[in-house]
Amino acid sequence: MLSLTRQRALMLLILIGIGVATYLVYVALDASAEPYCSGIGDCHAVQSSEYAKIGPVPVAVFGLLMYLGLLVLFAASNVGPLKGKPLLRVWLTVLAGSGVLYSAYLTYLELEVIHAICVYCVISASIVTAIFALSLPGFAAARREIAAAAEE
Amino acid sequence: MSQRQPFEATKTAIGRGRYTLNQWGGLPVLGSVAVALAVVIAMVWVNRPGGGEPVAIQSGARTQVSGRTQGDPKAPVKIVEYSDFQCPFCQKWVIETAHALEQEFVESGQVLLEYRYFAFLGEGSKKAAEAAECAADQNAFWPMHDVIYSHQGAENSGVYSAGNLKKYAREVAAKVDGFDTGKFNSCLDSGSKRQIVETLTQQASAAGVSSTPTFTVNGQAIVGAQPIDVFRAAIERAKSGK
Repeated sequence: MLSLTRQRALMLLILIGIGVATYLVYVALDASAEPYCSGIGDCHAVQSSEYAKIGPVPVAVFGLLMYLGLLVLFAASNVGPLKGKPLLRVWLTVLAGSGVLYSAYLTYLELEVIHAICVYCVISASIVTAIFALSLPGFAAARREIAAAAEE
Repeated sequence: MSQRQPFEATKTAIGRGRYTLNQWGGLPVLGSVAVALAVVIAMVWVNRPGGGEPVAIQSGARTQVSGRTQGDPKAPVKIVEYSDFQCPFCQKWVIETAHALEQEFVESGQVLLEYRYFAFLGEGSKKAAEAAECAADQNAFWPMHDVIYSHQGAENSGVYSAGNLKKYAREVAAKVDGFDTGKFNSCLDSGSKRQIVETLTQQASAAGVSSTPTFTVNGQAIVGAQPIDVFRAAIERAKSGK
């Protein structure tokens, strides 16, 4: 089981992630909204680049869906009928890991292709990386539980 | 809650040669990881730089080519085209009008056409112009010009990154005998053409060019992606000395 401190940190990071992603979705969907960059980076260049969308859907929407998915998995593995199911912890780590990989790709695009940095995107990438790292012990334990059950 | 796999059990499993995928969680864990990886790879693939389909650009015979010019150097009319590889209207003109102009006036020796960089839309414009200039060293400016315009995408989106421009050079090599991609790549990486791109851009600006495409027909300006009729009339005026 995850330690209480780690649980709280995970919960807090997921909620902050939802906040950051919600803001990025708002900026992506409202054409008149200028992202508040506080002088760091160039959010507008990043948000208006062709990489800010996958097909018609802003990348920020995928980010928000990921954080909401993390929240659902985190909540379901701690309360309710599915509490303690190891697969939920596996999925939480796998989902966060996917977020880390895609964030790494987006950061590469920002640095090497768009030549601009969006500070909220970097914050989001850091948050999901921290969530992934914090979830790893739970993932390892869950994997062992599933493996042990399969051996029986 | 955690039920750590006992070391002895794991050791026994290895000893029996049964250290199977199940030890790693089997289908539930590995399947989840595989699905997630597939989704991430698909998302990266869809959003990769330069992933769009190139547009078709027609090209003529282009017999008398020298650097960024084509046509008879002694032609009575000289057209200078000030252009930016990232400018959508420049691409529009290349697609809709350039070929007709080349066929009707350049190939017949009436017009000498010169392309000059007005790289004002950012890094992508400059890098693309440098690539064209590097290709010009191998007398392949115009094929590179066509390939660059055919791949035009959103401004400074990475469509004209060094990596993509080298990829486009391979398309040029497939069309132009003896085109040396190694030499092209070294030229592009050296940044040796940045100076001439900036100089030509500054000269254009000093000459009054403020948007692209802008043309001069024996000195008379035509602004915008104008159709062939506008050029036909301007060339006739230039030939009659009006």
